[in-house]
Amino acid sequence: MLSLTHFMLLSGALFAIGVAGVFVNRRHALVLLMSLELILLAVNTNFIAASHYLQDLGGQAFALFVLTIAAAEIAIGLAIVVVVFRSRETIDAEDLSEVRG
Amino acid sequence: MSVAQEMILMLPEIVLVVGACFILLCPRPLAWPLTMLTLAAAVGAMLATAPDAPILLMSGMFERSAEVDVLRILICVLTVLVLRYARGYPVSSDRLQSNEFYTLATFGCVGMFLISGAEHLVALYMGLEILALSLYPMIAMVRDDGRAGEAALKYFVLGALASGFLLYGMSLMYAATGTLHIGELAERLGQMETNRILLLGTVFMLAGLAFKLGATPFHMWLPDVYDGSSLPAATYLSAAPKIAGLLLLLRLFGDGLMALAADWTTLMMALAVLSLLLGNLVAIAQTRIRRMLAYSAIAHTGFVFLALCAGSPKGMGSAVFYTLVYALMAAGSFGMLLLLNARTTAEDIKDFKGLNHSHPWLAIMVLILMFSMAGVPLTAGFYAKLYVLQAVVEAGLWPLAVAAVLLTVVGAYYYLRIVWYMYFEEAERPAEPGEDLTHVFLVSANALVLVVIFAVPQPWLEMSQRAAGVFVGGQ
Repeated sequence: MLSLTHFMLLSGALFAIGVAGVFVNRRHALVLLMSLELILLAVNTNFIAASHYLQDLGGQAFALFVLTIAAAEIAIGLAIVVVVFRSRETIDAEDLSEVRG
Repeated sequence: MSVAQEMILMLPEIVLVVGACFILLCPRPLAWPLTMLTLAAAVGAMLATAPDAPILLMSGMFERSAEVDVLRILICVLTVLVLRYARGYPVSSDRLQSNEFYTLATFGCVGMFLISGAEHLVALYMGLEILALSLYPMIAMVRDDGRAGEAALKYFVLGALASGFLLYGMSLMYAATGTLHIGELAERLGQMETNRILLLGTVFMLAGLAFKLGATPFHMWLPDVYDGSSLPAATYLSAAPKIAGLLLLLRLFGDGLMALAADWTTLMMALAVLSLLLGNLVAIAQTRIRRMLAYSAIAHTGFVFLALCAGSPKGMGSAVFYTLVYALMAAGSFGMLLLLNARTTAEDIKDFKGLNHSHPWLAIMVLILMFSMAGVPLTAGFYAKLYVLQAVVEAGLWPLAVAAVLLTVVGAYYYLRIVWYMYFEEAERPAEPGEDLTHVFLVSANALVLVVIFAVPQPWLEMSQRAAGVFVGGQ
């Protein structure tokens, strides 16, 4: 029988992969966006599992909101990546060092 | 309460949303007047429908109170100021004065309004994201500027990561307490034993907020974003959203997680001291004004966190007062920067050299702004710092207060350096500020308000205390 702990471990692992993806990956801006998406999926897993075990619908409603906003966020993220690509012909995250102090 | 009554109490938000949609669709010359009209109508709606006591709407998701309305009016005023300053910017003749820019600015206000009243984690998150999703495109809007694109990408990635942290913390809290309502959360936390999930949730939420507010060690995006984005976008970013950020912090930590204060205070102290240390020290090494202002923003965030560490109603009140004064100072400084950049680029600190000889009035205004940032008496910045320190000392945290005073003295150096440059050095090249008299008048008024607040601080302080009281009193 799966318990809440199992789901929280799963979401913890997803979250860790996402965060590691943002910090370790220095190559590709699209992989950054995927990592961000993974973090939000980890959050959703947590909410839905908790909502089921607590028998409370609030968590599932929250997950729907998170999904919607994640879609909007990624749309804006991709638009920004396109802007960056147009001006410098690369989306390699390591090359983003023009603004420095 | 009937739906109609609730709608009337939500009128400010409704006005803003409807206005923002019309701004996007209207002919271009109408966009600016319509924006002003919308913001004015929102303030009008707020004044007309102010409730006598804090009242919960939308099944307890949203709280409306006259005390917090005052801060929302200030958010509108700052937005109007900032948008008016931005109109003088030369590049802004096309993209940065387009309908889209004003729509995003108005939607940003909607986000800030939602944050200010959210009593439910979903509402809070929605407000936060509406604000953030308006800010990213505002920065990326200058498409042919590679620096702006880079700043936008950095801000986007770290902002989304911060939301992820905050949400993950919220989901852990939900799993542990079974509620998303902030008031209920506070109640249940008060009755529960502290366990690991709660602590983990608190840490994630605090880290997410520290990211959003730019507290050390989560500050790395802030200087790049201030420096890389277009000046109008940076100006918008630097003023009103700071107030929204503080309200978010108060709602979550002053109200929702107050029962866990013993656990998060230590972390917040570390964030405060690190921000003060890094902000003040690194700002000294900067040569560009915007980077300097960014590090100064980090240091100011440190001060606000310090005030919250006190954990007392007085600490919360002083945090509100500090943020209020800081938002005014930031708007004024960026407004001045926009004025100086109206015709030529003057983004280096050296460009302030000899300003007194060519434009003595502007030099006096810069003097007031810089003195206020540094916390020199005769300006509001002095009282803002004083009240925070008082609250911190009263809470028995005097080592923190001593550290804050020392670092503030260090920080005074880079503000006073600008004053020194203006009055005692020869100009390397002549300053050519804009000649828009309304802009000069607004910047001057903005700076002089800081002197007025110093002269009569009591009403402002009481207003801040009352606004903070709504959050603390919620439990």
